[in-house]
Amino acid sequence: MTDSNPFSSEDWLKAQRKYWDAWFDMSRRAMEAGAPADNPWTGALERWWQGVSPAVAPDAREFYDRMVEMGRSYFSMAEEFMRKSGGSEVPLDAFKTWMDQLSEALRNPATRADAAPGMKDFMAFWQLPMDTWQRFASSVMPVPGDLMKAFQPEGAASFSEGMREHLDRFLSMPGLGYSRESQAQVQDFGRRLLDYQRAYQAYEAALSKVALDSVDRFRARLEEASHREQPISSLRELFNEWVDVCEEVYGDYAISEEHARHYGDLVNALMAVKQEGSRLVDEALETMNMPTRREVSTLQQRLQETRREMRRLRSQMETLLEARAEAPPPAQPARPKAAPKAKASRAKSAKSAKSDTQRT
Amino acid sequence: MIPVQLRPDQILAELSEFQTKLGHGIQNLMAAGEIPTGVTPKEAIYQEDKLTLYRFQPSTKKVQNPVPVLIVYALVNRPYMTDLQENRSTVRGLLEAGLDVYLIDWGYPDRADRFLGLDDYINGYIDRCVDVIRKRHKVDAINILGICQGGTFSLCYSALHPEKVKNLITMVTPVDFHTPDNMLSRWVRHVDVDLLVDTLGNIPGELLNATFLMLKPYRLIGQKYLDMVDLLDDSSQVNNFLRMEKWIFDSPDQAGEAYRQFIKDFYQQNKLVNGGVQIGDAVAKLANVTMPVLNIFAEQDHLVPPAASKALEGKVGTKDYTELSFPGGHIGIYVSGKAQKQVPPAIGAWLDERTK
Repeated sequence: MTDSNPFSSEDWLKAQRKYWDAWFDMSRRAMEAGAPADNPWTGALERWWQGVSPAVAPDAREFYDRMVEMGRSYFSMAEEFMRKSGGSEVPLDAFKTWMDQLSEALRNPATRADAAPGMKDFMAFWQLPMDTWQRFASSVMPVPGDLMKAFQPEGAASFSEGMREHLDRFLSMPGLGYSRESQAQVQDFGRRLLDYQRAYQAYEAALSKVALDSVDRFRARLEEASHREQPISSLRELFNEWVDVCEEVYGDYAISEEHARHYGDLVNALMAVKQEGSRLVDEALETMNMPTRREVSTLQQRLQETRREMRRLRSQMETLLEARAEAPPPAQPARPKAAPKAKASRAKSAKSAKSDTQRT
Repeated sequence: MIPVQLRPDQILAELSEFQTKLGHGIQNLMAAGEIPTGVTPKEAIYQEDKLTLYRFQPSTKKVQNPVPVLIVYALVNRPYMTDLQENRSTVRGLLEAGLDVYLIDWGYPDRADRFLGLDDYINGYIDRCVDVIRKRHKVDAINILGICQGGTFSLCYSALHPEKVKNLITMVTPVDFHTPDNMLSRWVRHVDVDLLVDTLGNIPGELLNATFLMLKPYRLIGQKYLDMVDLLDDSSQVNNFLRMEKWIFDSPDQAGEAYRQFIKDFYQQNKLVNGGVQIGDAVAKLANVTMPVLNIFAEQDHLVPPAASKALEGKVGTKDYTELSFPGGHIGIYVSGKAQKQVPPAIGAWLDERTK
């Protein structure tokens, strides 16, 4: 019977199970022959997702991407243990070996490139903070977001200080002639990129140290827990324990002054790159007689000041109007008292006489 | 000895189950469609720039408390967290407690709002909203419920305009920004905020998202999604999860000048406690907060540690100061089942005692 859900047909799952069984059998034989095994589960997950993701709505795809990404770390952990099990219970040595390999790969970047694919997938877990930072940095950088990675190919040692100094000297060469100023601006931009690269590497190195500490603490945690009655008997439980330890070690580091300094350097260096990039763009816009960011900002600032001033005046006016409305009506100017009739009559006669005189 | 016993058949079963759930769950995810948020009926009663002042439709026939409550939410993230879904709504709880509830929705500031400062927000927007409500209800003073950064704003507002605030409730509100466990405060200590704002103008929501996620990266970016796979076969759980995801990543940009002042004065120099928070022409002093204050904090809050909120005690000018401790986190205080039962009724009762 076929399932109506095209993303999880039972036939497909059955086929996958058969595939895993076959792989498992094969890997056992490979173990006996001493040959390294491949990582088929992570691959299967990957292929499944590649197949179905085009049919998934973009919003849901991003969400699923994250689940599959996490699944990859989880699956690769399983693969490492399965590879070492040889078909029976995973030997205790396997955990020790696994942690030793992790430590080695973290301690020595050169061995990272040669690590088994499963190990690499698993180590991607530690990249989560850097990946998160990188996503933001890409959105504000005037140059491609993965530029910093290009400076440091996988497995290569850090961009050496010597190399950096050399570049720094090159970028500090005094400019000459008519284009001296624009040359200096481009050099400034280059220097700031180097500064950012330095801050990025320092932050990354600090987080690698955190990852290494996590392995050590995980090892210690498991040894401390050796007396527990119920051993960890599921992969998920082991994975959760692992996450707890990573979070704990990261938390200890993230609250430290050292982290605060690295983080501050990273943000400040990125902003310096962005600022210099914006300045270069503004220069170009100015030459084309286009409004620059700087000019727009000035206008926005003046507009906001005018709005504040207008609000203040309106508020004062309302206060005055309210005060006037609440005040008692002003006293009317006193009307002259009505004259007694006799006097009025006399006055009328006099006015009439005067008027007659004027007429004559 | 390492206390781990893993059998290959068991590992295989776990992975197979994971894959099956992932495959089945995608249907639920695709069926989820648009996720509604902000569920309680409301009407816009005042608008200015990007801001909208809403009044929620009372759920009971008669509002029992004659003094309306204004919710002042943070500029960070969106205020529908207080009204996320029908069974997880602080707003609904407040309405059921007999309160007349208003809320400021700050909207999404864009680059034209870059020069809005704290003076514009506190003495401008908040003050005008308070005046609108006072006028509508013909009262001299109203109740204010400030949440998170909105609580800090509310404290400043109450200090500057005490005659317009009858009672003040602060919820998960940072007061002392330099407690030893305040990770965010540590992180910004060496950040050149002037350079940041001068360069970016407004502060992108993506930066705030990245910062919040990096506080607990392995749990918030990693484990959370693995745990989600277990819930994928339950469509209501999927919807709840997606609703929360939507809120987490729905982060408006921050007006540059307001951000600059908030980070420098509050996070870096801790002026709310040390003194010297200049808002417009006046200094906001906690000693001028003379109305009754209810301060609610979450015991497991990783964004605003309890100590940062509890620092309010003894610094405000009122003798009527009450604390309410909630056993949960920064988000759980609005949305958990326990919060629905505890927090809004407690606010209602506290206000009733002081306003009826």
